[in-house]
Amino acid sequence: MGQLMMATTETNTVKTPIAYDELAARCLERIDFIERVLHSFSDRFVEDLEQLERYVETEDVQAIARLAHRMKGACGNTAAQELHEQVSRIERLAREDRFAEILPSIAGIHLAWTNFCQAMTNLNMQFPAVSSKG
Amino acid sequence: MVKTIESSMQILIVDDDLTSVEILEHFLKELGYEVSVAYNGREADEMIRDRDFRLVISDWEMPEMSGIELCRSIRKRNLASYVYFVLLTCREGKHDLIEALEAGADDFICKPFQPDELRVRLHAADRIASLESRDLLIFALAKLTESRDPETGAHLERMRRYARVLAEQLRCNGTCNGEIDPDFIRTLFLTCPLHDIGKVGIPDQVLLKPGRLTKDEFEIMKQHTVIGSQTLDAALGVHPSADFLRFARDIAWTHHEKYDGSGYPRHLSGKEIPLCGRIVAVADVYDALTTKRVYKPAYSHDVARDIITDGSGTAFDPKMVNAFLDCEGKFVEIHRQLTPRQEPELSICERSILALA
Repeated sequence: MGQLMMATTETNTVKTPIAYDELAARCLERIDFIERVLHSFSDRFVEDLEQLERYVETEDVQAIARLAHRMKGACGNTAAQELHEQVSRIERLAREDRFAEILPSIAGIHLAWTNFCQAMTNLNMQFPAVSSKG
Repeated sequence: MVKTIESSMQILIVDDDLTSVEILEHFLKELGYEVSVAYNGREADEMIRDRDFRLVISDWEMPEMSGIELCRSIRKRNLASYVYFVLLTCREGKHDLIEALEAGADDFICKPFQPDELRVRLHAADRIASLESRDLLIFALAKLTESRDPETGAHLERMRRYARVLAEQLRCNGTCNGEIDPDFIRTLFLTCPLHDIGKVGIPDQVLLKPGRLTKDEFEIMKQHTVIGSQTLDAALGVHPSADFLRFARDIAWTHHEKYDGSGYPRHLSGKEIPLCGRIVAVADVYDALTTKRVYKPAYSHDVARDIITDGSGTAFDPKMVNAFLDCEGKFVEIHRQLTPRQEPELSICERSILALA
């Protein structure tokens, strides 16, 4: 019963653009380091997304799966939950060779990315150490 | 405030994702570990050839060489020390876990890592790595002791077994205020062979002298307790968390102390003598009495028992003597198993015949 409830709760968990507490714990609450990680993640994600779209254009499913897998690791560690969910979906579709469904899913990544950037802006307002350098 | 650990363990992170590396590297360094990074399995494989990493935390899927291939490569090699291998991966299926363990991985952690979980798993890895170092160190030191001891290696084996039997009996008797638990007994068994390690610092003319020592020579011989304790204490200074070294030092320092304060080197008495020292004192004397030495024949168990019983309250802690009497049959059995067959004592008749010849 308890396990069933837990599973239900997990399924219904709302994914947030940045699960700040989770990221902060992983960064041992070092605000300056959190800021650095978020910025370096953002820079790399933009490059990776462009590369991913190139692979989609060439329909290279294996390359899509490999890149999406790496992006998934980065999103997970940064606690970028929405992006993690979207990239995981792309990876799964690529591994299952369901290329037709990949192209529409790219839009989901862009939407999650917009939310992530907004959350970054909000964090800048909430955390002086971040905003002072932002 | 981050609690750092006392560890000199070098960790190699292997991951092709820069963000994951950045976060994990920061986390491990803040915990006090020395950290290096490789961005694929091939690079890691080469780094492990050249440097002494005790722990590898590797992603599974990477270009050029995967984490699983890296793990297999490490296990194929006959490295001087064990490399503890942790797979940190997004994969979480049971078949993935089995594949990882079959490849030789020691642990399997799902990405993204949870700080508390990773911290305790690293502690476990550190403990296992330390255990390996501990056993190798004790083995090396025990062999060193053996090389300088005129007695055979069987002496060390008998000693540790006598000490264990005695400690088990004391625990059973319940007379040591709960000081003896299974870990105490294990550590005693492990470190007992180091009791005479200080003999490596005693000159040959004293240590190997056939016959009784003069008073001056005996004073030199007594120094083996001090040399042994200082040696182990120096090691303890470098690794203060290595409790087995503290235990070994206490044994080396106090196994010649006597209950009434007439022993050496510090004339400790009663409970001033650590429990491990009081236990090993009985084991050491029993073995010395029941085996042949250059200056004496081997005495029977009955004679040894009488001498030890007579020493209760003077040479030995009465609790140790009582426990010894409770388990003396086990002493006899250990002696029978581990003592090389000696030439039988000649009868009076045989000796007189030889004398006439």
